[in-house]
Amino acid sequence: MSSDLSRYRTVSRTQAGGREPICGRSMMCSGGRCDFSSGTSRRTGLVSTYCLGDKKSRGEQIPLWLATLLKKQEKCNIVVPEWLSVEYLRVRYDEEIKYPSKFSNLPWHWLPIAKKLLDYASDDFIDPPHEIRSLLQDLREVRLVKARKGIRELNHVYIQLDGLSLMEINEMRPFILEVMDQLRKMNDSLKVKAEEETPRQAAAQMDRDDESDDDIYQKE
Amino acid sequence: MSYYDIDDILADSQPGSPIKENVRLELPIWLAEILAICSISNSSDYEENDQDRETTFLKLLEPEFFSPVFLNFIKSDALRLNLNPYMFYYRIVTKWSNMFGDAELVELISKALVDRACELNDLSFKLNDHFRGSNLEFMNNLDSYEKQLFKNSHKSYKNLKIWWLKKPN
Repeated sequence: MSSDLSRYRTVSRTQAGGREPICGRSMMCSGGRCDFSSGTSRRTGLVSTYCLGDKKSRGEQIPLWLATLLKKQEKCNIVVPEWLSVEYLRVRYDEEIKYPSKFSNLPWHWLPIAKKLLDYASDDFIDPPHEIRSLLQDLREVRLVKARKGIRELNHVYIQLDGLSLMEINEMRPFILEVMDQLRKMNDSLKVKAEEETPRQAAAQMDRDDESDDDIYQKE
Repeated sequence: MSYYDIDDILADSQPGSPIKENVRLELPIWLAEILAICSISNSSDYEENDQDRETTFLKLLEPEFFSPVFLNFIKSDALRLNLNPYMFYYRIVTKWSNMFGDAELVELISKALVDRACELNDLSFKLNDHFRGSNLEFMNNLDSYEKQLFKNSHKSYKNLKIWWLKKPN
């Protein structure tokens, strides 16, 4: 998934201005991009952000950890990404209900980003944070129920996780891996036998026919 | 007594007398497998060796947990199956099908495993509901692998919940 979705912007406060944010959302401009992100962070897309760095209205893109740090020190405001709005999440929620066998398209890191922003920048949200929070919770539950329904389809070779985000995959990872591994082990054991059989069967197929197991396996 | 000492095992089950033909013994699966595969023959005589291939030290009897009755029970309701006495049921299935390549058995047990895993997953998701009523019975019927699975799955769900509700410091 592209990291664009997980980017978000910060609005800096002037040094003199102190508390009040100078730039509202409407004044946002893309501004110069300062890229603090290291290789790792760029890969995860978690930490590339915009922040307004210039005196009044520059957006800069900075890592999420830095933005929350600055936010904690009240040095900037964070521009919350578009998908963290009641409207957007509601649409996603309706989608989840409408298509019971599909996951709606959410950012790859939607859970951690939403949590971080709700924790540290709840005053920067345009919509009321508690509504966002409960919508996120609803979304999560709907998706979790779907994901757990999918377990019924587990087999030893293949699993499809379209649309699930990383955190949701990780939540079920220990379970799914262990079950699939056990299924694989049991099914692989058949192959061992089959491979043993092939050369022998070729040699003595006529004699032994389908009683090939009788020498060691006798039912009483 | 040390478990893998054949002398001990034999001494235990046959006090004072040699093992006669057609005696039933309980052996660990690795030993039984070898003895069931090894043929008794004159190594010098190849002709005879071929003919005598069928003669082995022992014949494996079908264990109770692979009997048709037991398998039928799995077919009808895998969730009520009690695997607790067998401890390593799925491992035994693996070993068994290693020897006999019983595709039908593997398919059946795989299905049972998925069924049970679903139930297990549902229970592991609930934080405090698993020792009530019929859940308790199910939890007592798990084999060791399933217990481990439950533990891991439960831990994973719980950790995420804790993380989500954690207050920022």
